[in-house]
Amino acid sequence: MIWAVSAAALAAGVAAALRWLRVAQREHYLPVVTRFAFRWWFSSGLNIALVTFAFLCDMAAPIWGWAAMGVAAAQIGPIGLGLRGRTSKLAFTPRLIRLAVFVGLVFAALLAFGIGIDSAAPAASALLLFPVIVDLGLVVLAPVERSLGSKWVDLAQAKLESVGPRVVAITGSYGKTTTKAYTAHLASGSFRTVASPASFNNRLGLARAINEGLAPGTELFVAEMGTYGPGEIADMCSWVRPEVAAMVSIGPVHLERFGSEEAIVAAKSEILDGARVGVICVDDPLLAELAAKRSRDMEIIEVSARDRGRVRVTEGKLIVDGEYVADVPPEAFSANLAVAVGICLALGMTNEDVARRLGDLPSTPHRQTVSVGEGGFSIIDDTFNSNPAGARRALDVLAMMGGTKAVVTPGMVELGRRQAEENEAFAAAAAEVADHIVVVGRTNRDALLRGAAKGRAAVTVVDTREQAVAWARSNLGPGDAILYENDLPDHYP
Amino acid sequence: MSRPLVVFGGPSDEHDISILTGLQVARALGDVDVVYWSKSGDWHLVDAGMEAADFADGVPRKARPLTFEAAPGRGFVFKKKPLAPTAVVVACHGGPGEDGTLQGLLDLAGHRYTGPGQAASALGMDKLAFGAAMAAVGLPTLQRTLVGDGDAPFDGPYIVKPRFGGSSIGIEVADDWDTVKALTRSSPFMAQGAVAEPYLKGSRDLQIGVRTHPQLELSAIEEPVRPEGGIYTYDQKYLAWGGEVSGGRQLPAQLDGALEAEIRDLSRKVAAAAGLRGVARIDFLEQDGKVYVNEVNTIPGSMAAYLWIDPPLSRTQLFQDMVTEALATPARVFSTAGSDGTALRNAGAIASKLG
Repeated sequence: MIWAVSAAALAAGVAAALRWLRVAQREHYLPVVTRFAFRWWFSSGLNIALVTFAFLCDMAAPIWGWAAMGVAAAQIGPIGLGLRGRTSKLAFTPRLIRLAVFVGLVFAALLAFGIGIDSAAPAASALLLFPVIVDLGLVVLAPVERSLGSKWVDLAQAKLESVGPRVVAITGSYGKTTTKAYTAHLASGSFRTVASPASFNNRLGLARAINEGLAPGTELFVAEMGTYGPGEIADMCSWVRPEVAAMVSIGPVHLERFGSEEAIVAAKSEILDGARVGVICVDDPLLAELAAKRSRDMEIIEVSARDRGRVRVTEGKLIVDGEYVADVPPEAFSANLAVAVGICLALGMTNEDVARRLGDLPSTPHRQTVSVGEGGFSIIDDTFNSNPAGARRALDVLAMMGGTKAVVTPGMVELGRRQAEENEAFAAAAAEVADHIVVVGRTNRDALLRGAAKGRAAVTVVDTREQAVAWARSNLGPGDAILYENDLPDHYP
Repeated sequence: MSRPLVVFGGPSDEHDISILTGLQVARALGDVDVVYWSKSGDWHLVDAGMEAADFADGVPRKARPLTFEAAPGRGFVFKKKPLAPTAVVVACHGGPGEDGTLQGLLDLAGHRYTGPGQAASALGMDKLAFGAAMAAVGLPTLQRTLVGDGDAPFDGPYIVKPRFGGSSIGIEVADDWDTVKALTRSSPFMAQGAVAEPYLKGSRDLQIGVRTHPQLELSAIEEPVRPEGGIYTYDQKYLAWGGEVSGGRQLPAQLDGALEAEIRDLSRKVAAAAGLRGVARIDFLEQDGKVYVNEVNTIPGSMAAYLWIDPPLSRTQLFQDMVTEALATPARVFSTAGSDGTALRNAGAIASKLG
């Protein structure tokens, strides 16, 4: 019996490993796999039935060994979470392989232990708790990964020193990528500029951007810095050493990891330490407070999409120190542009230098870009976004369109305890603007349905993005408009 | 198991376009080693089957590091062993891959390579020197001047270009000389110098491909269609054109017989005067029937393969001929004639020369 059960557990273990390792990879190797496992197992009636069955079998396994077969069989689930993934495949990077080896060793040890004591119970529990083993591996290997990464960071630091560009660092809860693109565009009229690619905003990503992208002769390096916790930005700044540091926005993004917006401000404001000039968008009260506080010990350029600060982008105009400089392209993101201009001024560029480059600002893909698709209806692509403020702005864009209007969304995530509330509010607002709301997936389904019920829109529920696209093709025609708001990778239910 | 090696990328404004050219060449030639030169200047051996998107975020995941040793018989070295390619296909655009830097390095390593040698490469990337060389052999060119502190050498409007560089990046049009000087001071692309020439309103661009093997041949002539603004930008030229292959052009251009004959005659003379080798593209300006030699692109995007329509020439044939040419003759031969030791034997002590 024990050998048969162990063999089945081994096979089931491989399936579980593929699933949960992919979640670990998609979640930046943070120990949140168990949390995702809960989400998935309780995402549908079928999955709840499967996990309940697995749990009961696990309970029975110490008494009746064959029950472990039930736990193994339950590893065909959670239904919906693919083995290799569609939107984001499991990539066998060295880091993933190290994690897989660790997880495999722990799992094998538990199986061997079971064989040793002739009990199926350890194998059954190991399967049921597989996500916990993955999280354990993430925690144990974190320091190892850190020291392995140091090699690349050291190389990057040496490269930065030898090329010697001035460095700008940009952080914020959202709008970082657009602000970076604006800054790089405006500054490249005056400096040979290299910007870090969009997704390279953590320690190793920045190191890679520098090692591979920093051409000799680069005069300005624009670094985007993201953070999942306190100390991360301080660590990046310790070797990237920005001369100008910018804070674009604060919002409840990744709130579940930080706890409060104040904690987010504290973590992001690490970027200012050591910089010569800080550029802060003061439209958010928390950032206004921070700007006032920090201006006592460093130069702060306050910027705004409203009527305050040195740099203002309001009503289609760029105003610096109270004076009109230039008109702003209508599709530009005002607050992001204001920050970018603030950075340019901090670098010593003149108003004329900035104005000359304003005409052809780049657009960020998937950030409220509007196009007309094959079906003849307008498509507002805001799939890059996952924050409440941006989602409302996208609704404003939709409201300006004619014809039948639809919103497709899986809702927003990582908003902590405000997630349900924010999604409900968004769906309610969307139901006022749109004629149809298509709710994708199960992650935020309840909250979105609650919100949508408050408005006049008809509501459709689908499981995948593909089904939503098919819905749009058969229900919309020329002159209509659809907003794709956020897109969740497929490791979300 | 020696085979050709394709190199692309490099620390250049045209790094990305070079990847597209390089992958096309590698795919068409088939059995080749492929070397990716990163923006930061490192060498990597990559798989020939890679797609452009694999490079979008930087060095592809499966790239293996290479070194380069500038000593005879060394060159590209992988795991301490020279790759010893039969020939190197240089698919770099702009920067050190096209301006002679890489060519000089390949010369020192004893590698045979496609395209012009170091000196002709450098000439093609120096707009001031190239214009002067064409004028010196009596070819029609626009007056081209170095932008400095002095007064306007001729009346505007002007077209201002970075002196060095192969793409349209950094090119500006200005009505008066003060603006020219201001542009030159503020643009990072003109930090190494800028040239100005008269901006010909209502002129058109005419471009022709040249190849030098198996014999000197000229392609059809194309006319890129300019946008409203007058000159075309880098974005229009490359990004919107999908790697210089689609839209925005008239090919072959509608020309009267005499004009076409003149361009063809001039092209042969440019090829000789500029030392072209491999496949190049010569750009002319034409206004009211008068033709001027404007620029040469010694390693054009996609090797200007789209121009070879009459007679039709397959990409594979075009690239293979480049390889054959590289194998047939070295781009550069060093000479030590005269250094037979006589001067050294008769020299006496160095100390005596210091007195």
